Amino acid sequence: MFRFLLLSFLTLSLHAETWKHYYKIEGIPYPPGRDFQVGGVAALPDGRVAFAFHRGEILIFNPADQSWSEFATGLHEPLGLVYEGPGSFAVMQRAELTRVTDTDQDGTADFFETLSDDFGMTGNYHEFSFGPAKDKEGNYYVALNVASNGAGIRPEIRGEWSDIGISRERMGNLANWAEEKKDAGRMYSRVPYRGWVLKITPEGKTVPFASGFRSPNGLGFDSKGRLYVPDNQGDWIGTSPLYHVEEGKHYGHPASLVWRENWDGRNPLNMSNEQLNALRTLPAARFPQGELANSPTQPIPTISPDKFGLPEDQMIIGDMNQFNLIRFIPDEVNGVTQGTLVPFIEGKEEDIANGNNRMDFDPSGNLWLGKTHLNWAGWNGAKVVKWKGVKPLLAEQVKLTPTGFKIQLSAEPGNPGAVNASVKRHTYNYNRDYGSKKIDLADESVSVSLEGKTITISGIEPMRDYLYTIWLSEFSDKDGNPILGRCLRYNVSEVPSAASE
Amino acid sequence: MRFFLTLLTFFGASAISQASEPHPGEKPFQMNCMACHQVQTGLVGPSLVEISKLYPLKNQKDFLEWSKNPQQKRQGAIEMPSMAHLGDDVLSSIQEYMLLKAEGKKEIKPKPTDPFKDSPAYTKFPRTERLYIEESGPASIAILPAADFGAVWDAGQGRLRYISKSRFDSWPDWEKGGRGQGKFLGTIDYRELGPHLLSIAKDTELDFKGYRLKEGLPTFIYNYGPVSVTEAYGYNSEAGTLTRSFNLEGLSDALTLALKHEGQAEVTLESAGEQIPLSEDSSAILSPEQAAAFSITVRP
Repeated sequence: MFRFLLLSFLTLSLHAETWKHYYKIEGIPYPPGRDFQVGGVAALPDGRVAFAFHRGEILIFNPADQSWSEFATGLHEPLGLVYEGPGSFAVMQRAELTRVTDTDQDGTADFFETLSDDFGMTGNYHEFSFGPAKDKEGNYYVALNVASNGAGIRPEIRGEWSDIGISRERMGNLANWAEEKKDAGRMYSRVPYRGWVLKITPEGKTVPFASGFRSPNGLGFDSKGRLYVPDNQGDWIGTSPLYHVEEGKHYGHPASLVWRENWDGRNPLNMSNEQLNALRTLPAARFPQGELANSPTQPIPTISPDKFGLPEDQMIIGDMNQFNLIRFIPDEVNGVTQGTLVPFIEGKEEDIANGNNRMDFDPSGNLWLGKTHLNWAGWNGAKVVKWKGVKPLLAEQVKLTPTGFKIQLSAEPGNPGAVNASVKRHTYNYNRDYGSKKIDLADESVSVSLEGKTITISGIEPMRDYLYTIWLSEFSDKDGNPILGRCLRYNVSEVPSAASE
Repeated sequence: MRFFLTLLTFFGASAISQASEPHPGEKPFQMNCMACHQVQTGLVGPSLVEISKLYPLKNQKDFLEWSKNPQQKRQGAIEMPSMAHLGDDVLSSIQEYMLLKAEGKKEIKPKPTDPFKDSPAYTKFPRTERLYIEESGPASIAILPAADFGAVWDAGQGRLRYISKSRFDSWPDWEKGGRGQGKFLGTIDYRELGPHLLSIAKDTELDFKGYRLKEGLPTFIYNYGPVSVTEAYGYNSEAGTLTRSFNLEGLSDALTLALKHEGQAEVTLESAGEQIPLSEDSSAILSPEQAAAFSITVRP
């Protein structure tokens, strides 16, 4: 009896901060006299870590002696950094994708080579440029924010202008902006390819790759070569999604449609919800607003479980608002990638804090986090997440079946009698409103069984475009290690047929 | 006359009553609230003006509830301690006092200043810096050879836009993530009117390739069709001049330079050590040989 009490006390006290059983978070010193808001993180093979700063610097931190050195300055709002090799980085600035190189090997960059500036700019503050992510063939992918009608355009622009819906003259009429903005659309794409993901080939060709994005803050490939891009809740986006991005597809925010090849000139703002819905590809995952994320950030692939404890072939994603990191477990149904979001680090202001904008793993398997806010919710500085070496008990795979879910755990529960689950489902509206409430929220009546490491949940008829929230009970493995991440949110964009079972 | 008298009496009476009987909320406000809440300016907590909007008298219940059980509402703010120990009567009088103090007043938002204003990292010269800049295109680059001298190059148009003999301020862009624009604090002393400097730009699309930095100053690299251009910047602090040294390759015809500008400035064009005179409209025609290497020096 005493032992039982002790165990349940332990489980209770661990529940709130289970991650601390497996991981620790450390701060790093601020470089003196710098605005430490991070737009890019890239770990170097020698253990040093490069950070791109809001005011345009790339600084390199050496964990061995905790020192900082300046590599480059003068970049325009860099929001992505990729290490290319000794003395060379690819960095996305507002105006271009740039290769920044130290050609004379004196430790500081002297060559800022434009890899692509084949897209437009209106000078609107919201036209951020995100990326790059690099595929195995050496292509770079970047994403372009749409502009916000929180402001108009500047007198001078770069690139072709789209007159669809409203003229350039009216878009620049700041004196009467309160009126003009109504026809601009809440978020607008008046120059090419705002709201798109672009591919830039090693030869320097820029290819419009996919459309329908609003605030695609971060791009990442998984180990299987799938490109993931998150977006932010807002108009046409009921809650923040994670997309599996494929060439030629449209992901739902309508403003960017005007830059489709052979677009017929229709104003997307005048199209019906049904017309627009028919054009879009549903997301791979969704983050309920305020619960899991408000403004998700760069997805990065997990590394070997022997280095960081998490299963391979999954993604880690941050958020600007929440004190957390999130794990994505992919599933594939009829060739469609979709899956589960599950909390990874559920921290506090004093440990992980928020604003976790960019990430990278160093060669030892430490996860470096760069923070920013840019006058929105967020934080500044950088932290590093270190694995303590204990393999977490967690949901390793979550598969959708015609009748529910099969959850593969990383280890057998030590207290199988404690394993249980409850399931709720809901969906979101797709329309021009800013975000959506949960729609058609209902409890599912399920039966739950455990066999070895597999939890089977049945009694569900999965519905397309619904998010299923699975709450696992508290349990632990045979060594007493608690389950890490009990709330599994599976997004159904494709329903398996009974035959595929 | 009678009207004035009445008014005077009224004010007089009011003043006397305030002097003799302090508001019952005043003292507890000073003891418990004033350290964090100012009348018109947000400090640790919101100003009284803001509080009076959140909690007008009709929301007294909400105010009491909040004061006894406050939470952290604002990003990065410090959570208010509970005031439950003061009791409903004292808290109600504090609310009434705060409403009285805020009446008719407006919120004053302090103008934020750059916390890194004097940091060596952001005040070193020479330097080259990309940001949104006033009176230029959205893809602009500030060339800042000295604290009181700078120029703006437009990477969307491939040309120098203007020069100013004053200090450049990047903070308006940096402050709010691009809502403002960097700008010179003084006048624009020299502005090229364009739309092109080089005649090859007239019918050919710019292909901007980037820039190299030497001692903080840029050499821009770009192509117009088969013609490749480098444009290197140099500054002479004693003479107060900015020099652009051009090298063009692949040019088969003569090149026209359009140096029409605003502002009093001495503009000199040189090739192979020889000065080339500018025409009345500040243009010049260079042979392909002259255009292979020439320089333009501006003293604004």
